[in-house]
Amino acid sequence: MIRDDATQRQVDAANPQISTWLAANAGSGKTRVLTDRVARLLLEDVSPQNILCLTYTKAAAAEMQNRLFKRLGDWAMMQDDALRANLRQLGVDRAIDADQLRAARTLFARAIETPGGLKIQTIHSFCASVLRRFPLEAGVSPQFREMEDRAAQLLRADVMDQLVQGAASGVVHRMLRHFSGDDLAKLTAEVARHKDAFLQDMDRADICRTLDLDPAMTVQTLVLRVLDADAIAAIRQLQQICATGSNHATYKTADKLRICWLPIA
Amino acid sequence: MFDPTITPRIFGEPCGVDYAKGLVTGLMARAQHMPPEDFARVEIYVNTARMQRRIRAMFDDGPALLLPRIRLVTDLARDPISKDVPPAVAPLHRRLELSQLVAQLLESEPDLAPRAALYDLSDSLASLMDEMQGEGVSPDAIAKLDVSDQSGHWARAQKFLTIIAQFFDTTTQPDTEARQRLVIETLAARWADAPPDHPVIVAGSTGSRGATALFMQAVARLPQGAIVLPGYDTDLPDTVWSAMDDGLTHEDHPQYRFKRLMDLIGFAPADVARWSDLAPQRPARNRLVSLSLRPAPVTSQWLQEGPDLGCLIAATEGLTLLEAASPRAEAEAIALRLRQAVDEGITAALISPDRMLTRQVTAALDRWDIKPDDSAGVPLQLSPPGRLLRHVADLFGTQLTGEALLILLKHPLCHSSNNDRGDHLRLTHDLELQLRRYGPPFPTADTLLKWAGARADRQPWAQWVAELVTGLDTVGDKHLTDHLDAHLTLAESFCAGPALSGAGGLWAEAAGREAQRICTDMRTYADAGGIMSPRDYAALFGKILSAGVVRDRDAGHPQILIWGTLEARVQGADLTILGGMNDGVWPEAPAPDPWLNRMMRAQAGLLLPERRVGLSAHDYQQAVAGREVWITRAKRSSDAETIPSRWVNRLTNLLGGLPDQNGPEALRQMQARGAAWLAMAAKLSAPVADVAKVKRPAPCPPVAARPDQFSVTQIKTLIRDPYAIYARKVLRLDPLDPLTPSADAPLRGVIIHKILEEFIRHQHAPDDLDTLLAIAARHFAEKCPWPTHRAQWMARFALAADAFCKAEVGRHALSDTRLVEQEGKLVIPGVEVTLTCKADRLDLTPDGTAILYDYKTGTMPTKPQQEKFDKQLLLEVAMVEHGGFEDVGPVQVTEAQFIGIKPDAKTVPAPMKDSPTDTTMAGMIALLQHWKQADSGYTARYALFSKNDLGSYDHLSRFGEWDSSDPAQPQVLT
Repeated sequence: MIRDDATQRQVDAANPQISTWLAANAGSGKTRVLTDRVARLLLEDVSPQNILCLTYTKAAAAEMQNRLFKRLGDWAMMQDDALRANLRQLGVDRAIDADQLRAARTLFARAIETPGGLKIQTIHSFCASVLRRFPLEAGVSPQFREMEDRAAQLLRADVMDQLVQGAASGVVHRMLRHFSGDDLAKLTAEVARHKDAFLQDMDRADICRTLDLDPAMTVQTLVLRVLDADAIAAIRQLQQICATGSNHATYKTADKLRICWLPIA
Repeated sequence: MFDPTITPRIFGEPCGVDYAKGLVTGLMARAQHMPPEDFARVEIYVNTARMQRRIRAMFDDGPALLLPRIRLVTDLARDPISKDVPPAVAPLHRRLELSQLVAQLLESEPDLAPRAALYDLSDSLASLMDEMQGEGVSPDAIAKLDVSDQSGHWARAQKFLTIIAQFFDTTTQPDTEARQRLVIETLAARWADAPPDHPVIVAGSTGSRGATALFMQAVARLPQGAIVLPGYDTDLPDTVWSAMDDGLTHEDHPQYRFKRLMDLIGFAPADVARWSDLAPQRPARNRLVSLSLRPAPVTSQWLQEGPDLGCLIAATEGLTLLEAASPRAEAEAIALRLRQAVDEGITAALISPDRMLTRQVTAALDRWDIKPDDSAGVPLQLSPPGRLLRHVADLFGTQLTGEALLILLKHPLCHSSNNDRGDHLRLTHDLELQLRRYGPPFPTADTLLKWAGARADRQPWAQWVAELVTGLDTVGDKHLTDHLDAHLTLAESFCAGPALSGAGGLWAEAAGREAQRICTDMRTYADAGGIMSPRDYAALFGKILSAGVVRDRDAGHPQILIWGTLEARVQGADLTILGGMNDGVWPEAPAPDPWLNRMMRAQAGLLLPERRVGLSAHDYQQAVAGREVWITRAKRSSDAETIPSRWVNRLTNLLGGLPDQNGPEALRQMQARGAAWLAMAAKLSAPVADVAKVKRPAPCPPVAARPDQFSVTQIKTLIRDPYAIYARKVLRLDPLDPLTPSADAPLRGVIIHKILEEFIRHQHAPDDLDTLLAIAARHFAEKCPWPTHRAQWMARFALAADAFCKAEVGRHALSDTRLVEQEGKLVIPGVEVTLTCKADRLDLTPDGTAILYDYKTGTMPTKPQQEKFDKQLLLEVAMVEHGGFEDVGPVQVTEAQFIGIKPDAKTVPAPMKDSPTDTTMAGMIALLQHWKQADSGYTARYALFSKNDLGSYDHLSRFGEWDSSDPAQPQVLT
């Protein structure tokens, strides 16, 4: 069958025998390609239970499912010739006999009545269903509910209250000495989000290794690496000139330049 | 009654026939020659109480006679059939026992599951156990399953399943399901030896549960036994029946239950006879729906069998498809049709599993004061006693907040012994105002007694409340019985009132009786529970309470009914509305099973999740066969497009694909009928009157009503947002303090001011950092009861205190007397307006001049801001120089500064050089003279710093109907 370039590309992308990475502009028919791909998989006698489609939004999932059912539903009520033409257009290039036409017509009901439902869902809902099926491994309750942001915030505030009054209050007070912001909630949210990273203990040597630094480095050695002797002499000179200046601004500059870690010349 | 036969006696009633009516008609027809006492011996077993009531109602409509015995199949579970079958264990007892065992398991192996999941796990296990007992599957069958590809997960699950294995020993106390099966087996054995000679009929059941199927098998073999199947599809050809053999693929077909019965009992489709001769309401529609529901492998024949249906416009007569844009539009259209039904004098039933929809329809019907007869009733935890009990349960183990206390005191059941709630409400109101204005955020018994003071009208009441709230936050882990006792005693004391016994109105009315029943149940079985924390107890109590339902059978309108899907079988309505027909709602999405997957369930002989879909499909098939039927759905839910229910999808697809029989036209007409009603509902909701938006207010009160006294901090508001001054000083409206205060910046500012005041007043050395921090710790501990914030503020203050002390040394050197919190007053000449202020700190130098300081914990005003808007410090300077401070007299001010209480200890001076006192005073006189004119309007949000700033009176000025670019509309008030 002769197709134009764009349609041929769509047909190629919808070929279920090859893994495909598809990038296209908005409105160019990506959802259509996906629906075609699922339809072709079903035509190849793949059980609908073994197909999983993940989308980002609920809207995309619902739209895709509705379009797929519409396509399959149309096939269920098409006459032989029209159905054959439709399948050819989809990209089914082999010979289509009466048995296959009959099978194509039953796809609508098979997809609709998939046990557990045809899995076109958002990533969130897929993950939630996996967690519900394996609550023991996941370490959650079998009837868990996803916590809303506000409830999570209140829970973290509660935990902080307990920490401040409990055995770890020394640690909290030390942390607060360095915390100059207004809202502790943002900090606790960040910590909770990266909880796994905090579980590993890293000492100074580990951190240096991760950042590719020499553990023996000090501020002085760093300065010497960055500035050469001429630059250091120039800074000293500048500082001396500013110290004898007449402007309040130059005093402040002199103060800033009085850098105590400059090595003695 | 029946002629003898060797094959099982199976009858069926097609969809669209009023089942109860058909049953009674058939019975009466067959009993024509029976003597009345024999008729009275007939035993009829039905599936639900509603069916039982309806059959009774049918009999009541007929002639007077001795009625047959009508019992429920589930009553067999309680039947004292023989002394070898022990009585059943109460479900609550079993669940508590199970939770204890799961707790023990989790203690010995903590990484098996999180402790917090304890009750949910036991619940889940309990329902698995019920199912296994109902279907007669022993734990050995589960243990023997081939799980070679699931070893890890299976090993964990097995540990839990061994817990329930011990409850399968039926010689000791069996569960309800196990007992039912046991009773049925005993009955079947007894009947095999000595069958009864009176007719035994099983009506209205599809035999979907294993125990019921067993019972139907036993009855079918009796010489005078009969089964009357509901909603039997007479249009299904034999080929389709014989193809329905595999449960894994066909379980979701509505008629599959009957195929399974055919296999179990041993009859063929041809053997099913009609019970009554009543004709279905819409035979053509039945054929259409039957064809649309054909199982998947046979749907290829839609094209061939479609033409047999005839003209589809006739087949879809009386069927309306309503596709609303939103759930709300759907509910409004349904309510409108129900209203019409009342006018027409017909019975209308809304059938939907979607509780949100039924609640919205009920709310929409409230417009016409119609209360529908909802078979689901009100959930107990939402009724007044339910809510009160839950609020009281939440009190234990946490600090009491003002909010929690007032919720309880204001509850209608609180203090409800006699009819004297008036005084109680008055005292609650006073307490609330006290708590809002003066706090504390976490009131205690002492707070209440202090508030009562010596007043005789408050004391007994305050003492009563104080006694109730003492010791609630120290409640620790206790046994379930102790928790329950303490909880119920406290709830009853709250409801009774001071110095009264009893429980007030807590257990009164239908809701109270139901709550009492559940609480008594809990009390009886509570020793099977274990030790738990107050929070766990509250969660458990809430869960058990939510199982209760408050139903008032006489309250609803007799013509407007709301049913669950199971009640579709009972029928009896002229108009049936199938609401919420979206996938996921009807049929419901199957819940994922944490224990066994589909293949394992099929192997073990347990129920597949598709069974529920099949039962739902059967309910749909019966409901859609009514005389007039509406199918409604919302095309969009709150987030996204919805997917139509699979049966509706099948129907619309079938109709759309048969153009030769006017299928698409029939579908269009169905949708048009629905669209007409949607349009009517939309018109009803369209606003009738157009309310004009208000303009930016600038009220001009008469001069005599204008304020003549300002504090210096209010001058800034007078310049930026005069409307706020108008609202506060002319209308005398103050914003209501929140009930639960939060630890926010203003509170921090107040506390820090108090700390610095004490430090300076007691004349500590300026560099005495330790004393300053000690004072700070004391003040924060007193006034900030939130531990985290207290620690945070203390840490920040410690940083700032260092810099403060260093600067303070310098300040001490300049002055010798320091006066704190001095009050000043000055009458502005010419306009007769009094300015008041409270200077944070006034330092007097040895040479007779003054230095003014003001502490700022937030942002400090810049020089331009001070010149134009924030004149606080400049005005204080002016007041000092004009002698506004009594203790000081008129002295010259050399410097005025804002001191920032921050780690960098910045100070911002007042621009005294650019705005000397005379300029300031002249400007003030001009400003106040402007405001003394009768036509100057207090414009709302006149010159705010940022257009996103919020004012306290924005809702009063109706900001939003106008915005910052709108001109003001002066309004002269008299």
